[in-house]
Amino acid sequence: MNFTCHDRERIFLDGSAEEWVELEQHAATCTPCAEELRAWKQLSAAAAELRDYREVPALWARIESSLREQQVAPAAHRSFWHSFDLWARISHTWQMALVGAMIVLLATSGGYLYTHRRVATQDAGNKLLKSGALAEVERTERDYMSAIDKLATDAGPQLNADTPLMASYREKLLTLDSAIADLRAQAGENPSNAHLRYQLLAMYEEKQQTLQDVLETKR
Amino acid sequence: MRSVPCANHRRRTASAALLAAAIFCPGASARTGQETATREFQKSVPLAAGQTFAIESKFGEIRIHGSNSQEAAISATIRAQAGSQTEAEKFAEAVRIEVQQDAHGINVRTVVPSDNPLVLRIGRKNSYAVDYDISVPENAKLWVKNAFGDVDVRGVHNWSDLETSHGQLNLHDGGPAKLTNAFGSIEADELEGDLGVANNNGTVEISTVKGSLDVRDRFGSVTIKNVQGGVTISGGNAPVELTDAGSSKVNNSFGSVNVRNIHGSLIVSNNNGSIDVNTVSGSADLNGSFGSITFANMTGYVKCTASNGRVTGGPTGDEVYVRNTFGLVSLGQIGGAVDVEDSNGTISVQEVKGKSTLKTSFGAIEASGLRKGVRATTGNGHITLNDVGGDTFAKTSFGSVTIQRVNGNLSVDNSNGLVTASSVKGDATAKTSFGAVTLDDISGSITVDNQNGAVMLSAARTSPGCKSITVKTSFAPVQVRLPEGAGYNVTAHTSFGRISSDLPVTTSGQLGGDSLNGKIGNGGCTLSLTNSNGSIEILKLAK
Repeated sequence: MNFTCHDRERIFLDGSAEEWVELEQHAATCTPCAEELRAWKQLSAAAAELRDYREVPALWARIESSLREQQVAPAAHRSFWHSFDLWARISHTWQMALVGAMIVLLATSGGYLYTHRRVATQDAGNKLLKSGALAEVERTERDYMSAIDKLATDAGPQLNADTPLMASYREKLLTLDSAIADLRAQAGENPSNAHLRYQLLAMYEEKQQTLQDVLETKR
Repeated sequence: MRSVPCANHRRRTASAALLAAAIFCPGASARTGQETATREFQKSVPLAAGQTFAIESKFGEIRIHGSNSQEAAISATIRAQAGSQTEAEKFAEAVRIEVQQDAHGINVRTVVPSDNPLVLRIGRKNSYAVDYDISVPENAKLWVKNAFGDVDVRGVHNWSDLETSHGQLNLHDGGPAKLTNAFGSIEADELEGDLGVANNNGTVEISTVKGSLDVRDRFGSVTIKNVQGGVTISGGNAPVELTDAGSSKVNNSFGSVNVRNIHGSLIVSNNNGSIDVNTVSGSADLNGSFGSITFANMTGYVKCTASNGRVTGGPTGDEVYVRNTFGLVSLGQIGGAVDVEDSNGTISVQEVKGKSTLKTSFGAIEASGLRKGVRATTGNGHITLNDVGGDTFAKTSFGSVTIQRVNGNLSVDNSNGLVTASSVKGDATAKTSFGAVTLDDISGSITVDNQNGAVMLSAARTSPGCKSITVKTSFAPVQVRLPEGAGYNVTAHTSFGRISSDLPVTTSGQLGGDSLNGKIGNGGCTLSLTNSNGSIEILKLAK
């Protein structure tokens, strides 16, 4: 395989063992890829620890650190066609037709866009997540949800106890669930908004911590 | 193969649909949001003194600072992200900053285009954030509503109503204000007026308010410092810290409450958390459960109601009233009276200027330096009292009573326990059973009613004249030490025991081994000693 930086994110998601070896070899001579690879590994380790829901004091700091690095690192732009999963499976004729249609579409809209005030194309700073960081955030969210599901099962009997303390915990969990539902709905409308995503992760973390506290009271 | 045409047909159908989507759906994108665009917005609008600057946004920061000018200068940075650069730029352009002016002031609003419901979108929706940096006249009124971003306001001295739900909310150098948040922190300092704060699950930190303060926070910590007016805090499930404030009221649960330097009265209610109070110039009403209560340097009256927690208090300048269950009560240096009632807890009290009333069940009572006397009652515990400046009453069962140096009368009511007392300036009365009674250096009259316990008495060495002594017991010896020179009318009776006297007794009537009637000296005071199955000894008190 003739490896390039464009293949990196695909390998992160579903690369074979051979491709991972190639990526590692490539990263030895490519600084951006090396940074991305390092950030990926840190996040993977953090996510693995999340699955084991026992308390890891430095976990949140490491996730944040990794996300920051991911955002700061120069984003490697994937080719449009590499991420177009159906593209490789459709016939050459249809591919040409699609390309033609896109060209017509772009030509039509181009004139309209040029009549409007020019906007900067600079990086959006840390306000909007790049796709790599967003994928990691979403993966972390899934890991949180998985850990929370397990914790909720473990804490269920304790949580249902008729005591003022457990009533307070139940109220707090309802409050957090309400916030999580709201944030998830908003994230559907504004998926790459970094503040929104961080808030959602913070709510997941707090829910996880609350469930751990419930289990601690049992001990 | 038959399956090939079928597969090809499906593939072509999908391709056709995709092509149609690409042609007819301007918002369609197969990529995740990746390309970004940024657009700047700037506008200045006049704003007269006292008018309101209102802004409503949803995603992004809002920063506002006061200035000397009479206009509002609005700067906004619109950041957009979409599947392509063109789409991102188009979206950034479509996000509008709407500025409207009317008689009341200026209204600013972020308007984001919503998706056309007839347009099919493939992939993620566009993302955006709008950050505001705004300068307003420092005397402008503010109304800010945000949702998913921080709000930061500085140097605006008129009324401010600030709200966000998922972001930090900060107000510095301002006037009267109302701050509302849900899941983010609230910080405010240097405020010239009254302040209302409402939060749900975020921390609250307030300092230096020249007005009153009302804080509500359900699941976040609350830290308040330096408030000239009164403070009301309704917290829960997190610590509350209050320092330097006027008359204050704190409600909390499942978190500690620490209060320092209150210039007025204080009311604290806390469940399942400790209460620690230091330096209150007015009265204090402290209510807690399942947590310790500690108070010190209280000038006014202290009322403390607790359950299942330790109470520790003092010094105070006035009375202290404590009700507790299942917890130790420890008080010291109390400037007024003390009234303590505890269930299943030990009471320990030192240095009380007023009268002390101490009552517990299943707990010991230890007290000293009680200047105006004490009533100590316990169910099943020891009582130890030292240096009591007034009348003393002690009652227990199944526990010993030990009392030293009472400048007043002493009355002890015990069941099944020892009674030991010494240096009592007034009369002494002791009642017990199955325990010895030892009274030493008693200046007043002595009355002992015992069953199945020894009795050892010593009258005071320095007391002038005689005081009457009446003793009754059974199945144990009686020993009485009397000063030389005092006169007593002796009536002693026992059965199955011996009666002896070191002091000369002039007998009268019948003389038998089990009774003695006569006079010591010239008589005068009653010396009545009654025993069953025990000896009676009258001894000379050593000089």
